[in-house]
Formats: sequence, structure tokens, C-alpha cells
Amino acid sequence: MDLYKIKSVLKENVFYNITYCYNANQLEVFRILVALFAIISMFTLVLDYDVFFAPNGIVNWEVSNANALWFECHPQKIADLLHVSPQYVMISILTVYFLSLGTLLLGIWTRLSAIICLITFTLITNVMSSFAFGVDIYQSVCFFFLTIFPTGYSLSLIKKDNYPSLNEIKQICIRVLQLYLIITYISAGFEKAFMLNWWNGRFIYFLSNDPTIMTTSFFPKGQSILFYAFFGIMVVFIESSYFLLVWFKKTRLYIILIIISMHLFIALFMDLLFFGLLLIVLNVVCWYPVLFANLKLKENDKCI
Amino acid sequence: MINAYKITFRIILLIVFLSVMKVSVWIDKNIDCYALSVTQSFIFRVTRLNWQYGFFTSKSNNYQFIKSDISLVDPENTSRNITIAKDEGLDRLVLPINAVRVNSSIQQMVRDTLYLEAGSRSIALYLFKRHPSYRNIDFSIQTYNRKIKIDQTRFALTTKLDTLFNRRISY
Repeated sequence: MDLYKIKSVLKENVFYNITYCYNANQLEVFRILVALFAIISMFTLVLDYDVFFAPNGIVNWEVSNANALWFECHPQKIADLLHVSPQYVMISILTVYFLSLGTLLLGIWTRLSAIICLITFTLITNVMSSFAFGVDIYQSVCFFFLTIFPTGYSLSLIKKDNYPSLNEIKQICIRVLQLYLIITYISAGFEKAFMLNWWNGRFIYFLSNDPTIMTTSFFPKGQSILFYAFFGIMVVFIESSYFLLVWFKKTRLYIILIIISMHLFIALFMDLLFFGLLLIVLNVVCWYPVLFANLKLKENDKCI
Repeated sequence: MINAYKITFRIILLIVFLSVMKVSVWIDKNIDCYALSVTQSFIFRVTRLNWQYGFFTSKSNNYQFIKSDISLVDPENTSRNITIAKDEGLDRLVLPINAVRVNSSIQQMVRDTLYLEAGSRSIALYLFKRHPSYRNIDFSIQTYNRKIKIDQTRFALTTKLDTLFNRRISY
């Protein structure tokens, strides 16, 4: 694991902990995992092309185009502008998307690839806006970050030339990624905390009895109210306190393991495989150097 | 170079913060200014940095889930009738891994009458394309409205079944 030193002196506080480790390849790992995730997730959707993407799919383009704002470029607008078949436009967009994901994965012109990925993915999500959910928002944000982050300096086929301030810039980027993740958990946690149903167990009970959400039975039936309340309070506690527990050396390993277990649960028992997977990827990317250091997996790892 | 990055990321964190505070929702509700609405839509839609809340932060005490009955029918020869979905989601139309997307889309559809009309027509057109020898589809959507009651130390559920949408779509 390569290391680099921070030149500027930062004040130590809850957002900057002197014991933190950063990995010189961390952003490249982020790029590779996001690209890999996007390829697999889009491949499964393309297998259902007729349902999701075709102009006369189950939510046809007439509807999705009407839902798009005037500045949002729905593929129907491109087809109208160029006087070509909508089918041809959609297949072209998907082809360009897969090609740019391939170049992003391999590390060829990473920033340009990320920009093309973001644009084409936005076009694709405009078509399937009614089928989109949290994972698509997170994926778009990842592409948006990749258009700004310097990610082509290692683990790439075409490596860019290093420059003196690169490591400091990378550290800023990693910190932004970490802050973005904790802000989403804070907001989700506190929003839940203001809802009584998360404290009194009703929500978890409803969840476990809704066959369209809990597709695989997990909770045993007929438990006492306290049983459901415990799980509800735990979710509120985990999400609300994530931002705090992840900054402290003694607790960060446990909170990361707990949050990954929570996303595994979502992925396996609620059929939200890709949502769970992407959130696990983001957690791993954000924190793996500090976890490795905590676990002393490598002797060479030194905190900076 | 570093300063440019710092400023960029401060702006990004500001947008994330504004989205968490639901500023875009507040602007839509309280400020009647087209230019401002367009600006906030543009910023949040282009960056996708908005954090929106869905089902899991619902404040409602009543919950519902939706199931469908969909059949391709031939009035002249009922033995040709095919059941696409019976008291279930539209899972069979897609791979199991994508079923959640279709089912959540149906949940959205039933919350908006106009969307339900367009959506049911789209599903019908899709099925007619896949099964060109059929001209009629019986399409029904049921909502299972659920309320919770407390029985000493345990929860118990009451379920009321309503048919939201029930019609034959012909082509």
C-alpha cells in the first residue's frame, strides 16, 4: 500500500482525525468498483430491454418523456431532433454507456469516460424514471464524483503523470466521499428518529408482514412488541450515530461491520440486491485503509 | 489547484446540505419564482446530489401493498386464456433480480390516476406485442390496506381489500 504525506496542517477535530489513513490508490479502487458495479447492474437490466428501455415498454416513452423537465434530455428528444428511430437512439446510448464503463474500468481517459458515463446514465434513467430508486441516485452521484476526482494515476492502463499536489487533492476527494456518505446516513437516521413508528416497533412489524417488501421471511411471526421495537430503535441508532462512531478508532470497525450487515440484510431479504451492494461498496471504499490499519493487516501501513 | 478543489467540494457539500434540509421542497412550496425553481431543479437533477426519502420514512399509520390480476383473454375461446399474474406483482415480466423495480413502479402508478391510465395502457401494449394473437386483456389491481392494532403485548393486523382498477383493455 503506497503512502503519501499531507503538506498542509489541518486542525484535529471530529471531521479530521490525525490517526486517519489514506491509501494512494483509494480513488482508483473507487473508480474500478463503481464501474464494475455499473456494468453488472446495467447488464441485468438490458436482459429485460423490452420492459425497461424499449419505446413501447411497460412504461412507454410518451409517459417518461412527459415526466422529464425541459432541460432534461430524454432520448425521445434526440430522436425527434435527428429524425431517427427511437429504438436506434436507445441502443446507441446503451452501447456508448457500456463502452465508456469499459474504459472507466480499465483506466483509459478516466475523466472523459466518467463524463460520458454520467451523461448516458442520466439519459437512461430519464427513460426508466418510474423504475428508478435509491441505487440509481447513488450511482449517478458516484459518476458525478468521478468526473471531478483524479482517478487515472494508478491502477490504469493509461496512467496520467503525477504532480506534486496530487496526494493532497486525493485526500480532499476521499474526505468529500466520506462526508457525503455520513451526511446521507445522518439525514436518513434523524428523519426516522422523528417518526414514532420506528420507536414503537410498528414499522418493523409492518415491514415483516408486507410480502411485497420482505420477499424472504426473516423475522419470526407473533413476537412481542418489544422484539420489533428493538430492531426499529437499532436502525435509528445505527444510522444516526454512524457519523460519530465511524470517526473513533475504537468503534469504527464495529459500526462498519454493522452497517455492512444491515445492507446485506436489505440485499438478501428485501430483494434490493444492487442497492445493498452499492452501499457496501461505498462503505468499503471510504474506510478500508483505516480498517486495514486497525486490523494491522499490513505492517507497512502507517497512519498519517 | 488545491484551492480550486477545496472550493469545488465546499460547493458540493453545500448542495448535499441543502438537499438534506429539503430546501428544494421548501422552495417549491413557498416561493413562487419560476427562475429559482428551474435553478434548483437544474442543480439537483444534474448533480443528483439530492437525498430523497421514500417508503421507509413514511409517517403514515396506514400501509398498503398492491397486487394484480392480469390475463390475456379470448372471449370466443376461453380455453386460450393465459394468466400473466394472479394476486401478485408483475415479477414474471422480468428477471427476478429486476422484479423489485417493476413492483415499485406499480406502487407509484396507483398513487396517480393519470399515471395509472397511462401505465395500464403501456402494460397492455407491451403484452399485445409479446402475444400478437390476443386482442383482450383483463387487468385488475387490488390494494391491501392494512391497519395495526395492539393485542396486549403483541401486534395484530387488519386487512381491507379494495379493487382499485378493474377493466378489460381491448386492442
